[in-house]
Amino acid sequence: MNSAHRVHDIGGVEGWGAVPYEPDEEVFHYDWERRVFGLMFQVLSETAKRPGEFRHALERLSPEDYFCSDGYYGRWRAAMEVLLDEYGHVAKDELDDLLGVERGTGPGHRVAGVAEVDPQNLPPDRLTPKPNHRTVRRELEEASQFEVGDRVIAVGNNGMGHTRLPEYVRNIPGTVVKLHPAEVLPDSTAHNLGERPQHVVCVAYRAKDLWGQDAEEDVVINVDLYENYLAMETELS
Amino acid sequence: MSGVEILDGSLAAPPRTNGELLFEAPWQSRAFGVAADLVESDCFSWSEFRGSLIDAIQTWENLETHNQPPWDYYTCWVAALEQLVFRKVLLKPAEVDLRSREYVDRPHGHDH
Amino acid sequence: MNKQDDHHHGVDPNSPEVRTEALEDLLVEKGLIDRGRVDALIERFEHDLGPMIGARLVAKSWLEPQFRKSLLENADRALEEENIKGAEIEHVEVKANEPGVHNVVVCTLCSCYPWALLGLPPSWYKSPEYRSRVVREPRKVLQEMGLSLDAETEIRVWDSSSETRFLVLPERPEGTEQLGLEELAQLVTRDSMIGVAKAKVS
Repeated sequence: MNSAHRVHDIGGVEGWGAVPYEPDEEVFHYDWERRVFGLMFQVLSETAKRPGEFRHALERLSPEDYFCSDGYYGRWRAAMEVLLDEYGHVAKDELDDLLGVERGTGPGHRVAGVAEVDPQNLPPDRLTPKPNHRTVRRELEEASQFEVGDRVIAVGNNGMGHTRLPEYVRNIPGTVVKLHPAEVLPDSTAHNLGERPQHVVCVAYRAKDLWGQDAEEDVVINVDLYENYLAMETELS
Repeated sequence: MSGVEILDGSLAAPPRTNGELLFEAPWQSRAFGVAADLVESDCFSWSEFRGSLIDAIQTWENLETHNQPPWDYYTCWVAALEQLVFRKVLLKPAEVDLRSREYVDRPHGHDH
Repeated sequence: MNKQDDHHHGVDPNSPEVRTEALEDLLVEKGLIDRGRVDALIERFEHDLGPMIGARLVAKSWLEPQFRKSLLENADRALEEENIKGAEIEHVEVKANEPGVHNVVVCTLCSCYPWALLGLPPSWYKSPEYRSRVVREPRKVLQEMGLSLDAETEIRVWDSSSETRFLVLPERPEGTEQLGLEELAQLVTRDSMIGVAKAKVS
């Protein structure tokens, strides 16, 4: 697995320092952040319309652009530049020229391309009733394969496409604690490969199973996982 | 809840602190309240207001630097509100001009 | 003439302050708006959006055990009955703090957050420091942020990796038996509904 690619997937990654906590901060620190926020909705409606597609653009940014000093809105801005280039609205060289900077400056030059996803690595699609309002939730006829109390392991796949399986729980056994409503599968929708809706399973992990015996006592991490990521522990051993 | 959150999803998002609306002077909250009441009375929608506000913000942005007053969100809000009120023929520009001048010319000691 | 007394005298008639007053008065005179309603709307907007929506749910659940039960069992239905909808709430789960159990919410993969209940997310919530560390050493992170939990308290971290959004139901502080809904809601901070603080009598 090429982990250099998954710059956004930072649950449990070591080396980060104190949380920059300000109890009463402003929502926007600078006016330009407000503008980025505003532009977002217009850019998205012309580019990344499908669930997960914008997140995948963020995830493809190089580490220097993802963690850039401009923070959260800075990476939104970088992802927008990437999408505007990829959708043929504003080429990255053109943007550099417009800004009067050297060509090769913008994040579009460092971004990883949209991953090629093999549909064989995705669960099959299935028909569901069309919802009467915009939602990612779907009604599935079949019940989930899993029940509260099941011991499961998230395996996922080794593709480079968008996914909502955080690396830190991969291959670790956990216990199903709740079933959430089914949703379209972002791993598929982000790549325009259909909805492939899945039940969503909440799995609880003990900190010591995730981080080793030195982990804090009495800590449980609960993660929501799409059913196709999971297998029964007994199946795998 | 009211539709005003549509503003948050745009260039026209009002200033907030800890997630709550931030008014720095009473006239700002009045401007907000007047717009909200006109929406509640169906004179226009928040969506239309947002469009007007985005135009007002862009007008400010396009001013030449030496002519451009410092950024103030609620100044743009009031400009947007006026434009929409005139466009919907709720008031005429001349009426508002006249009334504003009257308020400024009020004698000293006017008890408002 | 003392120009300081009159708040508009000598001011530019084109200033937004003057224009606003003129607009409001003219609209009232024409019967297009109602002053009392404007007052009520200001009151509502200043306090309704943002964390106050979540705070009122918490306060109500402190006062009404039946509501608390319904919020914990089926938050979507409870919210619908309260007429709450909006951005980012496809599905909500409410997790109650109680003696021995403390809940805290994160999105390690990006920064998912229940906007319609808590307003816009604070930047620390979106920071790589919070996202990386709160799943690994939550007790330490919470302590650094000012919340010390005793060793017997189980910490449950909720990573928002699907479209489910989490709200923490903090414990009701002691000595608040006499308070009503609005006063109780004032005690519920955004940070306590994310789980990095407790609700406190200030």
